[in-house]
Amino acid sequence: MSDTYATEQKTIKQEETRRTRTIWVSVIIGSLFALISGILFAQGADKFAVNIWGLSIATLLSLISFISAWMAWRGRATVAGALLLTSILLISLAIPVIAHGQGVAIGALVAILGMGITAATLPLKYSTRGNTLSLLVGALIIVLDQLLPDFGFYTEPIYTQVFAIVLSAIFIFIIARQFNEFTLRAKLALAFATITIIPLVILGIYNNYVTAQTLTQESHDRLTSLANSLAETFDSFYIQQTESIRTEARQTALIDYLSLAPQDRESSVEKSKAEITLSLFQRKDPIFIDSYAVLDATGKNLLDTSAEHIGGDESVRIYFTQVIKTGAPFASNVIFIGGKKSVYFSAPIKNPANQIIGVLRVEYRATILQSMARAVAPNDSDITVTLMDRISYLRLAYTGNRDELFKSYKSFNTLEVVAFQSEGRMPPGTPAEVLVGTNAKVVDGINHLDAVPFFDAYSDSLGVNTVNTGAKLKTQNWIALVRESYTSSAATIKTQTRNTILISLALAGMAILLALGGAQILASPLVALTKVAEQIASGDISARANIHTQDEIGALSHSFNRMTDELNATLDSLEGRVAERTVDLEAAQQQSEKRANELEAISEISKIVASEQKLETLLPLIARLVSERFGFYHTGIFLIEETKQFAVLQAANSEGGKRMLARGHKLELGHGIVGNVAQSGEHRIALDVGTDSVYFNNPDMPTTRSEMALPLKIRNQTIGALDVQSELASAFSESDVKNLSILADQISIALENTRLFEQTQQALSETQTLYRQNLQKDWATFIGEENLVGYRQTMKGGTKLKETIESDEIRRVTNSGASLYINADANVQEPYIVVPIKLRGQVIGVLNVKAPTQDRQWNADEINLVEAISERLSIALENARLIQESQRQVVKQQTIRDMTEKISSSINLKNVLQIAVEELGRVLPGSEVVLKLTSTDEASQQS
Amino acid sequence: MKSAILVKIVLLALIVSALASCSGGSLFQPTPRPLPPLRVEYTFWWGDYTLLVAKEKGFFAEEGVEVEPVYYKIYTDAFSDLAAGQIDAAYLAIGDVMSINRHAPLKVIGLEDDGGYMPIVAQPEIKSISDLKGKTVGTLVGTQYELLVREMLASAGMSAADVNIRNVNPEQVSEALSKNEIQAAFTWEPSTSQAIKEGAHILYPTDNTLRLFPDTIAFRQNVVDQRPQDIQAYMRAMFKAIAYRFNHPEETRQIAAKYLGVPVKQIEADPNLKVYTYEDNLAMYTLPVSEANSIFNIAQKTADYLISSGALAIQPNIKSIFTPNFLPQPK
Repeated sequence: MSDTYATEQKTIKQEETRRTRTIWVSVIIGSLFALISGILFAQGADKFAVNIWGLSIATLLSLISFISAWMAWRGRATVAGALLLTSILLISLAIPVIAHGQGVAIGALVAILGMGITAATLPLKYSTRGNTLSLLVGALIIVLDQLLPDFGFYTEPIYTQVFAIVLSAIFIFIIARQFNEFTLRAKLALAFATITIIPLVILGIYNNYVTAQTLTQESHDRLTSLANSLAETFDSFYIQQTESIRTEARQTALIDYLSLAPQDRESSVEKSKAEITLSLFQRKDPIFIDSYAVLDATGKNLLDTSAEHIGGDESVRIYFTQVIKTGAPFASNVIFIGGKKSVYFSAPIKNPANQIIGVLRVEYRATILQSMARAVAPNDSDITVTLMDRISYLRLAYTGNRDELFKSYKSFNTLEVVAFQSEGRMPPGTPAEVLVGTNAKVVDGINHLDAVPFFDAYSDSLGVNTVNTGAKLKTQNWIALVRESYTSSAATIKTQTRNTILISLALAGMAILLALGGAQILASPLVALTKVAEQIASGDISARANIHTQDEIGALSHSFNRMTDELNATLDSLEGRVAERTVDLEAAQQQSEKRANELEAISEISKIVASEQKLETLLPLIARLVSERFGFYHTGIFLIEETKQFAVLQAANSEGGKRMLARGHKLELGHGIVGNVAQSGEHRIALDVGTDSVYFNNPDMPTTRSEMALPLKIRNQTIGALDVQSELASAFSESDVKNLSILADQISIALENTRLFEQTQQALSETQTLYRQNLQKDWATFIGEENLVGYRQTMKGGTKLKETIESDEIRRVTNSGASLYINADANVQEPYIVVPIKLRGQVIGVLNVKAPTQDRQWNADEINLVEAISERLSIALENARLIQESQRQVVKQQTIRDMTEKISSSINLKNVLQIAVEELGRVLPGSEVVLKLTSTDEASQQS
Repeated sequence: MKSAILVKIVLLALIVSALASCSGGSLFQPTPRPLPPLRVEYTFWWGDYTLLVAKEKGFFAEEGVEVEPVYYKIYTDAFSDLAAGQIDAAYLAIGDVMSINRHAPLKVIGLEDDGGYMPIVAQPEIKSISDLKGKTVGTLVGTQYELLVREMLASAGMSAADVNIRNVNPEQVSEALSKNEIQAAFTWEPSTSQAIKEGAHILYPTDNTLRLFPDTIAFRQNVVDQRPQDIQAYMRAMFKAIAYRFNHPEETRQIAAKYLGVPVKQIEADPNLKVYTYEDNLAMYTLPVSEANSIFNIAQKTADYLISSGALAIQPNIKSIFTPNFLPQPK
C-alpha cells in the first residue's frame, strides 16, 4: 500500500519535472526562433527575397514553440512535446527545398534538437520513436540537401553551424542529464554509436578538408593558368601586331611614296602603289582593322584606307609622337576618340638613310580584344574574363555583361573621369555612364594582387560570389582578370563533400544499426534476466533464465537459476510446513470448538441442575442432559451407599440403564470401571472396552465400545461416579476427561446443594412446628394469667365472658382455621359469621358475629370487613401480649439489676452471700433460698 | 503496432519530402541567371525591317524569346561587334559571314532576302567602264563586294591594277562620289537611289535581275549552341513577321520609321529586293548543291573568291556554317 503510494508520488513528481522541462524547452526554442525572425526581419528589404522563407519558417516555429509552452503550462506536456517535435521535424524538411548549403548543419541540428526535445519533453516510452524520427529526418535533410538540385538561395553555412554547435551542446547536455534514465540497451547503443560516429565524423571532416584543399589548389591553378594564358594571348597579339606593323612599314611602296616630294605625290604611281599596299594590309582583317594610314613626318594623314581620314592631322596622337620620339614601333592603349574605341599600332617609315620620313599606323577596332577574350572564355557562365586597364580600371575586354564593356570597375570622381576622358583613356559620357558595374573589392583585389593572388568578390553579372585572380600583361599596363563563380569552382569540392557526407551518413546509419544490433545482443540476455527476475518478483517462481552463453552473463544466469531453485525448494518446504500447521491449527480449532461446545453444554447443564432442588428429579435430569448434549448413548450416575461397599445406580438415560435402575443395579467398590473410580476417586477411561483389562461385560449395554467414569467428589470425598458410554471406539480423550470432570464437579456440587437444601427444609419445618407450639402455649398461659375468655357485644351492651363458649361453629373454625358464614334459610334460626383470629397460622380465638334477624343475608363486603378486622385484631392482640410480656421482662431485669447492685455494693463475701439470698427471697416471696459454695474436689469430680 | 505507426510516419515524411522536391523542382528551381536578350543587328535596309516588325508586333514575345534590335548606321561596323560578341546576330551577306567566321564561328540559320540589286554606280562623267582607267573605285576592300568590281573590270578587259580600289562603305558612296573622292563605287539600296538622285548612274550591271549577295541571318555559334530553343523561337517569329509584312507593307514602313527615327516617307520599299519566305528558305537549303540557287552553291562560289582574293586563308566549312536546323519544321 505504502509502496504504491510512493510510486505514485514519484510518478507525479516526474510528470511535474517533465512539464516544467517542456515549458522551458519550448520557451527557449520559441525565443531562439523569435530572435532569428527578428534578425532576419531587421536585415530587411534588400535581402527580403532571400530572407522571406527563413523569416516565415522561423516565425512559424517560434509561434508553435510558444503554443507548446502554453499547452505544457496547461498540463498537457506530452501533447505539447509531440507538437513541438513533429512541427520542427516536418517544417525542417522544407529547408533543403528552399535553401541549400545548410544540409549538414541543419540536419545535425534537427536531429539533435529532435532528440533533445524527445528526451526533455516526452515520456520514456516514446523516446525510441522520437529519437528514431529525429535521426531519420536529420539524415533526410542532409541527403535531400546533397541530392536535390540547388533550390532557392545559397546561404553561407557559417552562422547555422555556430548555431547548430551551440544548440547541439545544450541538447547534448540535456540528453546527458537524462542518460541515467535510459535503458541499458539505449545506453549501449548510444555508446557504440558515439564511439563509431565520432571518429567517422573526424575522419570525414579531415578527409574533406584535405580534399577540399587539394581541389581548391587545383581550381586556383586552373584559374592562374587561364589568366596567364589570357595575358599571353593579348601580349602575343600586341607583339605580333607591333612586329607586323614594323615589317609593313618597310614596304618599299610606302617608302617610295614618302620619298617623293610632297607636291609630286598626288596622282603619282607611287601613291597608287602605296594605296594598293595599304589596301592589301587591310585585307589582313577587314573585320577589325578600321584603317591603315600613312602619315608624313609632320603627322599629316597622307594615305588612308578610310577616305574620311585623309588630310587629317594626327601629329598629336601618341602613336605618332611616340614613334617619332623613339624611332621604334608603338602599340597603343585603347584610345577613345570621337565615339570610336581603337587600338593603334604604328611604326616609323624610314628612308634608306634611316631617317623617319613617315609613320605607318593601323587602327584596330578595340573590340578585337573582346573577341580574343571571348575566344578564350566564350560565354562561359561560370568563368568571366576581363582585360582591365590598371590605371582606369576600365574593362577593355569583358565576357560578362556586354553593357559593362569599356566601363570602369572603380568609382572615380568626376574630375578623374574627365581627366581620363581628355586623355582618351575613357569613353566619353557622364561618370554615371562610364562608371558602371563598379566593384571596390575587385579594385582592391587587383591592387593587392601581388600579395594576395586570389581574392573573393561578388559578381553582379554572375550573380554569385567569385574567386578572382589576375595576370599582368607584359606589353601593356593591363591585367587579365579571371573570375570563377564559387558554385563552379567549388563544384568539385561540393561533389567531394557530398560524397563524403553521403558515405559518412551511410556509414553512420550502418554504425547506428550495428550499434542497435550489438546493444540488442549484449543487452537482451540482461533484459531477459531482468524480465525473469520481475516474473519471479511478481510471484512466478517457475520462471527460469534461458541463457546459455559462456560469459559472465551466462554465469550470472546460471547462478540466478540456482538461486531460484533454492528459493523454490525453500518455498516448497515452507508450504509443507504451513500445510501441516494449518491442519494442526484446524484440528486445534475443531478441538477448541468442540471444547467450547462442551463447556457451553457444561455451563447449560450446570445452570439447569443448579435450579433443581430435588434429588430424585435432579439425577435423571443430569443423566438425560449429559447424554443429549455430549452425544453419549448412555449416561449413568452412581452414588456410594452409606456402607461404602457399593455404588448404586441412581439415574440412567439409556434403555439398558433404565433396566439396570429398575433392577437396583449396584457395583461393588473396586470392581469394574465405575467401582474402581468410586473407590479410587480417579477417572478411568476404557477406550475399547472389548480389550480393556477392566472390561465389564454388561448384558444391558451390549453395544458399548468406549466407557469413561468420572468420580463425583465433595470436599475430596467421593460420593459417587458419572459413567458415560459410547458406541464408538476410542470416543474419549483426556480433553473429555477435563471437560466432564468439570461437569462431574458441577454435578457433585448440585447433589450437595440438593442434599443441603433438603436438610434446611427439614430443619425449617421442625422450627415452624416448634414455634407454633410455643405460640399456642404462650397464648394459653397468657389467657390463663389474664383470665381472658372473651367478650360479647350485644344490642344491650358489652360484657366480659366468664366462660368459654362452646359451639359447633367455633369448634369447626378453630380446627380448620377457615372463616365460616351462614346465611338465613329455613333451617337456620340465626345467621352468623365466624372468623378465626389467626396469629402466624395459629388460631388464637374466633370472632363470632350473629345477625339480629333471621333473614339476614351476608354480603361479601361484610365478610371481608369482618376478616380484615380479625386480621388487625390478631396483630393488635399479639402486640398487646408482647407489650405485657416486655413489661414483665423489664420488671424482671430491674429486679435482677437491683439485686446485683445490692450484692455488688458489699465487698464482704458474707454480706454478698447474705444479700444475694435475702434479695432472692424477697423477689421470690415464700421461697426457701439456700446458697451453697462448692469445694475444689467436688468441682474436679464434676468436670 | 507501435513500430507500424513509426514506419507510417517515416513514410509520410518521405512522401512529403518527395512531393516537396517534385514541386520544388518547378517552384523553387532557381532561374538560371536571366539570359540577356538576343542582340541582333539591323541597318537602314528594307530586308532588315522584318526584325523590327517581329519585335514591334510582339512575335518574339509570342514565341518566348527576347530580342533587342541594334541599329548600325554603317553595316560593316556590326562585323567587329559580332566578332567580339557584343551582338549575337546580324543580317550578313555570305562573304561577310565567312570573313567574320575567322574571328568568331557563326551559324547561318536562315536567309533574309536576295540582297536586291547591288550595282556599281558612277559619276556622270564615267560613261563606260573603260573610262574608269586610273580612276578610283570604292568598294568594301577585301570583301566579296570587291568581286563585282573585278567582274566589271574584267567585262571591259581591265584588271584591278587599272584602277584605284579604295575602301568605301556603301552607305557613304553618294557622299564620296559627290566629293569626287571616288568616281565609281559599289553600293546598295537605299544608297543606290540616293546616289542616282544626286546624278550618279548605274554603271554595272545593267541587268537588275542579277543576284550575287543574298542576305543571311547569322548568329554567333556559341549563342546557337547555348540557346537553341531561343534561336528556333527567333526563326518562328521571323517567319511570322515576314508573312505579316507582306500583308502590311504600309505598317512595315511605319514601324521601320519609328525605329529608325525618320519620317515614314524616307522608308521606301525596295522593288528589287526579294524578301525570302519560309518556302524560299526551305528551297534554297534543299536544292542540290549544283543548282545555282542553292545556298551552298552560292556560299562555295563566294568562298572560292575570298580565298583567291586572299581575304580567306582556308576553305570554310560551309556545311557547318549553313544549317537548316533552326528553320521551323515543314507542316
